Order: sequence, then structure tokens, then C-alpha cells
Amino acid sequence: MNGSVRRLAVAAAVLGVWSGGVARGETPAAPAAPSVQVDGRDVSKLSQIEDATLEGLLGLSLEEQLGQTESVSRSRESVLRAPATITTIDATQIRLSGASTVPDVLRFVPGVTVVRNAPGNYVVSLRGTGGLASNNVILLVDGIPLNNPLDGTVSWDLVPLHVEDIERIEVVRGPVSPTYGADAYTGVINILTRTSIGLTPSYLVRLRGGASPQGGSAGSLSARFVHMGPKLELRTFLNAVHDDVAAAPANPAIPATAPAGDRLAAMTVLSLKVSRTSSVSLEIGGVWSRRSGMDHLVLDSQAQTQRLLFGRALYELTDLGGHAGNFRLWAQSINVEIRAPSTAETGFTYDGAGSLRGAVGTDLVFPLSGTLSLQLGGQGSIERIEAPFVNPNANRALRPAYGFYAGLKASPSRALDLVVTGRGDLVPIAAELEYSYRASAIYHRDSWGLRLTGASAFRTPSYVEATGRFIDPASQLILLEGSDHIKSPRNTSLELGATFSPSSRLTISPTVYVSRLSNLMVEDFESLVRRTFRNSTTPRTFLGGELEASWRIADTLTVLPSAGILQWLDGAGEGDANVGVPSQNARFTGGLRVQGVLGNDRWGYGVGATVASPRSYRVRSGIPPIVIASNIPTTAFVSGVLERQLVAAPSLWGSVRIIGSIPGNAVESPLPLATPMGQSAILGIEFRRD
Amino acid sequence: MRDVAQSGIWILSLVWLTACLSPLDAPSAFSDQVYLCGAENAALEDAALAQCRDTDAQCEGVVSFRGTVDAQPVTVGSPITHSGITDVGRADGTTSREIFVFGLAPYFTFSFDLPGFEAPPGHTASGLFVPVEGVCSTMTNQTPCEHPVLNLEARGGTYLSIINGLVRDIQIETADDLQVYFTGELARGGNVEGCFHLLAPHP
Repeated sequence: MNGSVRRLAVAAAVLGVWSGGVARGETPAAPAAPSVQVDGRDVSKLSQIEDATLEGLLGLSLEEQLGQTESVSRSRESVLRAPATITTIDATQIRLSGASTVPDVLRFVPGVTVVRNAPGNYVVSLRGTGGLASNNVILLVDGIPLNNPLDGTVSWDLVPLHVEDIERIEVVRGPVSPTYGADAYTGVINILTRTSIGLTPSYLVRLRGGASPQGGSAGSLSARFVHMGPKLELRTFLNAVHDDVAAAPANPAIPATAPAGDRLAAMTVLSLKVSRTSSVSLEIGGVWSRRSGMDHLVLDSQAQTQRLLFGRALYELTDLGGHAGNFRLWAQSINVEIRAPSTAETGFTYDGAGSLRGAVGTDLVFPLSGTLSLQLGGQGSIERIEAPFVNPNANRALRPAYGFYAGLKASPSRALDLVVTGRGDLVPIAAELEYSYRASAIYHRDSWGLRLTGASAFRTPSYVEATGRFIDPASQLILLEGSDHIKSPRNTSLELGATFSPSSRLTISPTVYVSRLSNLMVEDFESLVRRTFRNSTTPRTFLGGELEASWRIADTLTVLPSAGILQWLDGAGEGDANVGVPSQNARFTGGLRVQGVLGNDRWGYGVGATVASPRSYRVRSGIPPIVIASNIPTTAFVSGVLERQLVAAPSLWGSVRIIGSIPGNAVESPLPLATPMGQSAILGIEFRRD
Repeated sequence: MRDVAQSGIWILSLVWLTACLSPLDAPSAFSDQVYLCGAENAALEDAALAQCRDTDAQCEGVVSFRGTVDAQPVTVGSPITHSGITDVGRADGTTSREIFVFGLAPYFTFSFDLPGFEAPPGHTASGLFVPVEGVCSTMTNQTPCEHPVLNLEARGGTYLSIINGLVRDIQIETADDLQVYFTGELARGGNVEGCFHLLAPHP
């Protein structure tokens, strides 16, 4: 974390100048920021005062240190008082992690499991839902869901931003369907695009390039422009990525090589403040990506091209006063098209699959009294899918879905919040009302907080699981078919979380929870008569513990440890469902990052490592299916960065990054043609004007 | 406040009214299959046989069955893609005959194997004549069964499964075309009833 900017941001947050939460700015050498006054003092000039001293001077409580979030309730609230477990990774932590992809950043979050199948191809899962399927978590960019409407999967190569053009990543762990509806049953990962704390336009051009000892190269060219004017806000991001690191399988006897992960992305956010209380914003983006299409149904490492278009229009009324709180009206859409030309050697592909979802919704917050507020919201959406492997009855049809939620927040005392939220969803596949709920009690003081949350949420079956019809082109036999009778997988959990700050330099957040996963999805290749998706009949219950901490020993040194453990209370149905299988989840994951800035903010460094305990897989997968039997030993991911300001004006920075694994040729995916995690050294140069 | 609340309520109402949800209908491919056996389906069977005679593809008749296999409801109506009759001479001079028919279900290929028939002395395998008296039936117990009377062998993808069935009843209707009706319980659970109609070879 850069000292001067952080100090400025802290002051801004206290003053309410910047309403987006505690700012976590980048590392300009000489920030051209406006003067910020505290008690008549210009705190923006206090660059020589250590952060802790300043925070003590300003009397920041833990709540103010942790900042605010909208990822839990879709309304602004403090992280400390949010009714769910949330990890916030700010821009500086991202940059000094050395990681070059969002999944690699997420490795440092407790409760998150990351598996790399091939360059640009990752599976990320939360809390016991590790497995082969990648449709068990929601990915949001500025609150816009980017999961493919066809099968609910997250393609991390479709993140439209360079990882360092992200302002914050907020990882909400645990059921969040009461806010987001279907699919947010294990959590959401919300990526917030980069803002600026200054009023003058800032821009950046970044060039990275490197190589891997295993062969292959990696590089990126990216740029951003951010203008945060008093009325008009314009932010534009461009990004081109090439990742060919470790594209060959670890087994030299396998000749297949995965294609490089290549991506072109552009995204623009335009916001206009119409009046003191109202604003409109338009956010659009597009991504073209090419990478290996390998997943639990596509075992070949063939190339797959995806095109993503998304957008959102938002009208917002805030701080209306009286009983009129906040009002938000939005319309958003996403379109994903996939091309994956089949070859004679290839089984199933997603070639020709397309999906479109448009949604309109509203979120309203009414302060009923000083201690009671009501939140209402709803959304309606239309989905259309088209794929050659879908039941003709479901293909090319427009299908509506809608949901409605209501929440009540009571604060009977200054230190206690009680929050209850319930939601009903009618989704086209389930065709019956699906419910979700969350009840939380949060007790918080200046330097600590406790949170007890019970919640239940669901994931709707995907179109593939409900209507897929995969036909063997040679025999014309149906190899796997969806079922319209399957129920929604559900996650019910009870968790106790705490956050405490023994000193202004140290924050510790432990969480313990018990979760029960039921109606998990099974790709039933065993049945000869009809191989289909069905629900697992054996719920899985497990205990989990997560710990994360931030210890700012000095401005020049911050230590960020994290750990997660899983203890399964029942092993029944082992190998049955495609996620939630005990042996497919690492029982222990841990991470440690050390980072800081030196030399009057002209140097930045960071080094980190994560480790995951062994996993094993004994599953049938692929179309046509094969038996996958794989043991994944303990693997570690390491990354590091060293950066230096080369020229002060204009601000020119150079950097070197290393990314690797231990053991050196470790493969963390059980898929037969999966490639190693890879090792690379990347040099970078960037020109910033903040 | 009132304007905001009204706007919100209008929008929520609009959201609810924009969609009239219909359940997703994606039935299994078995629902497209036609059961061809029995007097009530005679017209369907005749049509299927006529189509079989007219087609250029390999078709030696029709085979159909329905019931429960592997705890799933199953209906199949398929052309007989090929068939076979195998005679094995016994020490006593009689011939043990085995009949195979092969068909195609949406999810698997299958064959019915009816062993244990007896052919009259001197009868050649090229004919389709099967004496009713030779049928081994667990129901009538006319002839002790050395083997299961009916085997349903199914293959799908890379899998092979042999579903042995004990046939309760077999009726052989004609000696020209071969028409066999059967009902049976499967050794690993479930039951089937069905028929096949094997056309006489063209002269």
C-alpha cells in the first residue's frame, strides 16, 4: 500500500469526500491530489507521517478502516456490519501480489480453491464445492454477472480487465442468493473497476512480456483512462493478453498441447451526476478470448473461442432524506457466443453455443426510522439459448425468470444490527418457487465485531443439466442427456465470524461455519439405459474454518496470512456428485503474502505463496466419458514482484514478476491433458499519470 | 418519498407481469419412441414394417419393448438392423437353435438373444421356421431351461451391459415371418415386455 495515497484516502473517507469507501489507491510518486482539510490542516501534505499515526490522529475505528461494500446486500454498508463473510483485496494488494490473473489473486483468499486446467482456463470454487464443474460461484464485474447463461460457468478469461485495472476484488463467502437470486449459493466474487481519487484525469499504459522455462511466453498490453469529474465520470479500459506458459501437458508422452490463452477486451463506464441525489451510468464491455476449451465435459485441449458482450444502464437516487432512502433502477444484458471447431480426434465441443440474458430490476432502501430500514427489490429477465447439444424443445426459446426480495435491518442499539432477508425466485428450469433466506446478527464495537449468520441458497440447474442432449456423431446414440426433473442444488449454512483489531496495525478475521450441500448435481454416466444428470441423494455436511489477517508492521512491510480448513462430517456418496466430494477438496489451504513500498514510494515489492493439501479424483467425465483417476499432491503457488519508479516525470515504472509452482512441474487439474501450473518471469514497463 | 415508492412498486409490478413462466419441457428421447407390440398397436407395427421394406437402409424387421430397466422407464421401437440364427448340433442328433436380433435405442444399441430353441432334424439355419413345441418357457415349464431364455444385451458409448431376463411367456405367431412376443423379468431388476417381427428373407 502506498503510504501517501492511503493517507489521503483515509482522510477523504473520514471527511466523506469520497463516498466509495476507504480508498486504496495506487502508488504515484507525487500525487496531484486536491487539498484535503481536517480541522484546518491539509492532511494531503502529511506524507511523512506514518499511517498508523495519522489513523490514530483521525480516530479511525475498525469499521472505518475496513471500508464499505455493496457486494453483500446490493446497498452500501460497512464491511464490518455486512451480514456475510467478505474478503476485500485492494488494488495495491493485487499489484503487489505479483499475480497476473484474477484466479491467481484469489488463491490468497481463504475458502477459495483455484485449479488451472490450461493457459487462461481456470476453475474457481468456494467452500467445499471444489470439483470439476465451474458453475458454482457467481462472477460480477461492477455488480454485473458474467456467468454464461447457458451453463452457469465462469470463464475467467472473459474478465474484461487487466488484473491491475481492478479497484477491489470482494469475495463474499457463503450463501448470497437472498441478494442475487439463483446461483449465488456458495458466494459471489465481485470485481470493481478502477477509479481514481483525483479530480484530474489519469491514464496509464502498461506493457508486459516474459517467458517460461517450460517454453512459451506471456505478455500483455493494456491501458486505462479515468476521469472522475464532479459531474461526469468516464473510465475506459483496454487489455490484450497472451499466455502460452506451460501449454504442454506435464507427461511428455502426451503430444497434445493446449492453445495459448489470448484475449482482447475493452470496457467503458460512463456516469453522469444529474443532481445532488441522482445519477445515471452506462457500462459496456466486450471480450474476445481464445483458449483451451478443456473442462469436465470437454477432455480434449482443443481451442475454443468465446465472445462476450455485456452492458448495464443504471439510474440511481441516493440520500434522498426522510423515509426515502436509496432507489436504483437497472437494466443489464449479457451475450456469450462460443466457437470450438470439432476435429476427428475430438469428442464433444461447445461449438455453436450461444446465450443471451437481459434483465431489468430495481433495488430500494427505505429508512423506516432511525433504527429500522426496509430493503425491497426485484428483477425480471429473459433468456435465450441456442446450442446444437440442447434438447430441441428448449432451443431458441425465450424464457423468462423473475425474483423478488425483501429485507429488514434493525439496529436496536448502536452496537447491534439484526438483518433478515428473504427472496423468492421463479426460474425457467426449476419452474417452481425457489426460496432463499439469510438472518444475521452483528455486534460491533470500535475495535472488534462478531457476526452470526444463518442462510440457505440455491443454484438453478443449468440449461445443459436440464436440457442438454449430447449425441455421438458416429453412432447417433445419446451419450448424456439433461433432465427437466432435477432439483436445484442447495447450500444451507450457519457461520460465526469475527473481526478484531488489537492495534491499528493488525486486523484478524476468523470465521467458522458448518455447511450442508444437498441436491448436488450428478453426471450419471453409470446408467446404461439413460445417462443423464440427476441429483445426488446424499447431502454433504462439513465444518470449515477460515482465517485472514493483515499486519502492517511498517509502511514498508505488510504481512497478509490466510488459511482455510475443511472437515467433512460425512463421506457418503463419495465420487457421486460433480462437486462437493470430500476427496476432491483440499482439506487445508493457506497463503502468506509479504509486501510493501520503500524509498519514498519509489520501490514496491511483494512475494506470496499459497499451498493446497492433496486431492484425489475417481470420476467418469468427458463425452464420451472416460474414467479419470488422479491424485493431486500438495502443490504450492508462488508469485512475486519488484517494481521501481524509473523516471519521476513523466512517471515511468519498471517491474519484474515471477510466477511459479512447487514442485516445478506441478499439475493441479485432474483432467488428462491438463497443463502444469507453469513458471514464468515477466518484465514490465508502465507509464502512469495519476 | 411517495414518488420513489410508487416508481418502485410500478417497476416491481412490471417485472412480475413481464413474465408468465412455463415449465421447461425437455423430455427424454424415450418419449419419442413408439411401442409397436400388441393388437392395439398393429397399425403402427404395420407402418413400421412397410417403412422397413421400403428403406434402402439395413432393416430386417422391427423390434420393440417397454418396461423398466435400471429403474428407468423405457420405451423402444426400432428397426432390426441385423439378425442371426445359429444352430448347434447336439449329440442326440437334435439341433439347438439361437436367434439374435439387433436394434437401436436412443441411448444404446441392444440385441435380444433367444437361445434354447429346438429345430427339427435336418432343418437348415437359413430358414426361419421355429417349432412352437421347442420353446423353453419358465412359465409353461415344457422344456427345462439350460440358459436364460432371453438376453438383452445393451451397449452405449464405451459400456457393455448384459441384462439377463427370465421370460415368462413367448408366443411365436407365424412360421413365415418370425414374430415373437415376450414378457420377462430382468435378473438385475426391472421388467420388459415386447416383440420383434423378423421379416422373411427376400427370395
